[in-house]
Amino acid sequence: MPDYPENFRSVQELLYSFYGGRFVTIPLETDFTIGTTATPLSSLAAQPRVTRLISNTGSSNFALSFKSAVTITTGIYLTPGGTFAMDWYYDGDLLDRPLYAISDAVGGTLHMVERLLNGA
Amino acid sequence: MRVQNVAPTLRVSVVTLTAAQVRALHTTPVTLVLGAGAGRIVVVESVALVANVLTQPFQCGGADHLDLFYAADLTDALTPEFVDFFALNASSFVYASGAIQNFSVLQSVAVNQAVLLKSANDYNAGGITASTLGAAGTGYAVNDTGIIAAADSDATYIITSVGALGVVTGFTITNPGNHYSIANGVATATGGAQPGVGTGLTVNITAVTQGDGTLKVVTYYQVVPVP
Repeated sequence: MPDYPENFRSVQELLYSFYGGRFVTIPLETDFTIGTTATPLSSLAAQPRVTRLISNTGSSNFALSFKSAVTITTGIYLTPGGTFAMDWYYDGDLLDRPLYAISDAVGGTLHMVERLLNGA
Repeated sequence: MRVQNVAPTLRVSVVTLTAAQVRALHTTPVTLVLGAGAGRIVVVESVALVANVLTQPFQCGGADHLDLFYAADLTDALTPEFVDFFALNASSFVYASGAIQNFSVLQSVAVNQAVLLKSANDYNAGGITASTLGAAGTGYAVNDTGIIAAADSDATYIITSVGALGVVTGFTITNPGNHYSIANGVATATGGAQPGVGTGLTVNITAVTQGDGTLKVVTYYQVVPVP
């Protein structure tokens, strides 16, 4: 007989073993239509965020920043189809900071997916 | 944080036209790409046409070419014309790069405009499947032969019965021909195995074959903001 335990029976068992506790999350998705005015990427998240992924789903370019006065030339540049991702492991509590976006044309669109701790 | 930008995205639209849509492509152009919104122009990079013909080819009674246009400008084609695309009378394929054929167009006819596919004529012509006697003519004899002198002039007839003075009272289409349209009083010309000496026979074409199958149009395009 091998000297290791039975296989994990679920992702939650795997996560429990890895983190030493339960790690249950839920997704929250939000769409934004943003023009040439810096706009906060607000969400209705009621739980702590552990991951945030933003996709430029339109045809305009975007700039992202933690600064509310971001302009199209002073932020993180995101072209159509580009993505911007943050997670707790690399970015820590920056995940909870407000993030702003500005487009170089009216009608720019972003799609945001957040991963939230469930029940926290 | 991780940012991943991609090269300019080449978008693609795939529209498959039914046989009825193909046949009416002049009267009712088909939208290939929707308008991209205020302040944006759809730029066609290339387009591919894939015709899948089943039992009958698509035929038209006049000039045969397909063009892509902005909805607000049905004059300036967005690619080279697809001339005689259906002339092979079989499943066929063609593609072309995008380029406005008239060098440039006003922004007003391009901004937020859909891209359409339109043909020079409807594809509602074909071989003759039903016809009636028009003008009976005179001087014909049973078994006289000739052609229906329109379209490709390749439909043929044979006289099956005549009356006094060789007035035609009956005929049969022996070859349906190609590119005929429904019309009355279509002229004939004697010829073939037994031309005879008859004159003045016309026929009323009451039905022609209908093209079937589909036409798939794949349009590769980008969206350009203005200015």
